[in-house]
Amino acid sequence: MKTLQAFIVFLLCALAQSALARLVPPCRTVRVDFVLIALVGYALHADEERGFLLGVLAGLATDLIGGGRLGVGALGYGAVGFILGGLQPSLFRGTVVARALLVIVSAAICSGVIYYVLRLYGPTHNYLVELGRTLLVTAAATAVVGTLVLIALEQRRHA
Amino acid sequence: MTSVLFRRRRLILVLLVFVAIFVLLSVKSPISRWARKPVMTVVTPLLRGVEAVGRWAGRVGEAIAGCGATRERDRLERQVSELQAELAALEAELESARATAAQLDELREFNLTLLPARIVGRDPTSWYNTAVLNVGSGRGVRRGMQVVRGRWYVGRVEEVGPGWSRVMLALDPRSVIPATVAGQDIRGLVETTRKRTLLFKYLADEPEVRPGDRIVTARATTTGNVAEMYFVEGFEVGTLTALAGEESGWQTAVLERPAMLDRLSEVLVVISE
Repeated sequence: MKTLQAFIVFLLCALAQSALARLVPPCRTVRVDFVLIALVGYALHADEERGFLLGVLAGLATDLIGGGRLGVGALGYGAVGFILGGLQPSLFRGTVVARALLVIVSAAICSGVIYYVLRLYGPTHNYLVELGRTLLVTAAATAVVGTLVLIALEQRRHA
Repeated sequence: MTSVLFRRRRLILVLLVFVAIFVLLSVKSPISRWARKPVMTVVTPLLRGVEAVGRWAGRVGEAIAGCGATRERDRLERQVSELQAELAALEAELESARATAAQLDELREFNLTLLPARIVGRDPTSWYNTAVLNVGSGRGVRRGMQVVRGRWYVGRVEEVGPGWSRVMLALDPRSVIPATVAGQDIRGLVETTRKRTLLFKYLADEPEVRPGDRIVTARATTTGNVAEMYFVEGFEVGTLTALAGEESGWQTAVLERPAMLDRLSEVLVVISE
């Protein structure tokens, strides 16, 4: 049940990204990855295996709402879920900088895996510009929004 | 044995999922389309709603900012601002209808059956450049159909469901457009580069092209599981700016395309000739 709930949250996040990119054109460049933020929020309270499964679901949600080959996002987000699930959450709940860093590293891992999978399975286009944009702009924007969301979620959990 | 498997069931599940994804990626099958159809059919009305609310909110915001009603408490002024917001929303609708009418006017000579459509969503990732339209198979849209804005080529329908369709835009990394130089018999393919610009590729040696030449879509019909397209000739893809040199014995040219084509909301789907 909790897994289904998480999948619906991921779908809604992907939907929000899609709608924002349509309504606010600058969001096509400065993209906030809400799916990744939700995944970080969930995976920090899971183990490696559940983290991986949550990551796969997050990636599938993105793949289903977006274009391209199904499964590419599932591997990228799955890797993030696996790594986050294996981390000691207490290490990353301490400071704002640690949380921001966590989101940036997650975005980097995710885009790195997606880039590699697209190079393997995608068309001849080599996606370097997309990788650069994701690493620099999306990671930074996601870190700013994600840190605030993670702090708010943590406070709500404690309350 | 059974107890070991039971204890390790989550690890086994992870491995199975991992293998399943690799199989999914390795096999060329229409499974992506089958999986997306039910999800997109459920999700598109939501996208439409969000898009309509977003447009309305934008207009209301403009109207309120314009009349300065936020600072006033007076009932009449509030009413005026509400009416202005309503007017702004109606003007947005009118603007959209005018844009469609202008496009249809422009394309009268082409003698095509065109279906007006609205872009309600864009790709949630940076990796692809796709858009979701609010019309689908219920209105006669099929995979491979061309999507245009006035005389400009916008993209091609990649997936279609009952009330939605996904368009692969011209600047998508996977996009390949059969094209020709307007008024000449020089054919090639337009592809997207790393820097999201368009290249007119596979031109014969020493092509007689000049900067400023208009590159338009060429007639092409292909069917199949992977790439399906029904291209009508004559829609502009870009303007030639320079020859980029030779690549594997073929000449390549760089194209320029108006930036407004990336900020569209109203488009037309070419249903038939």
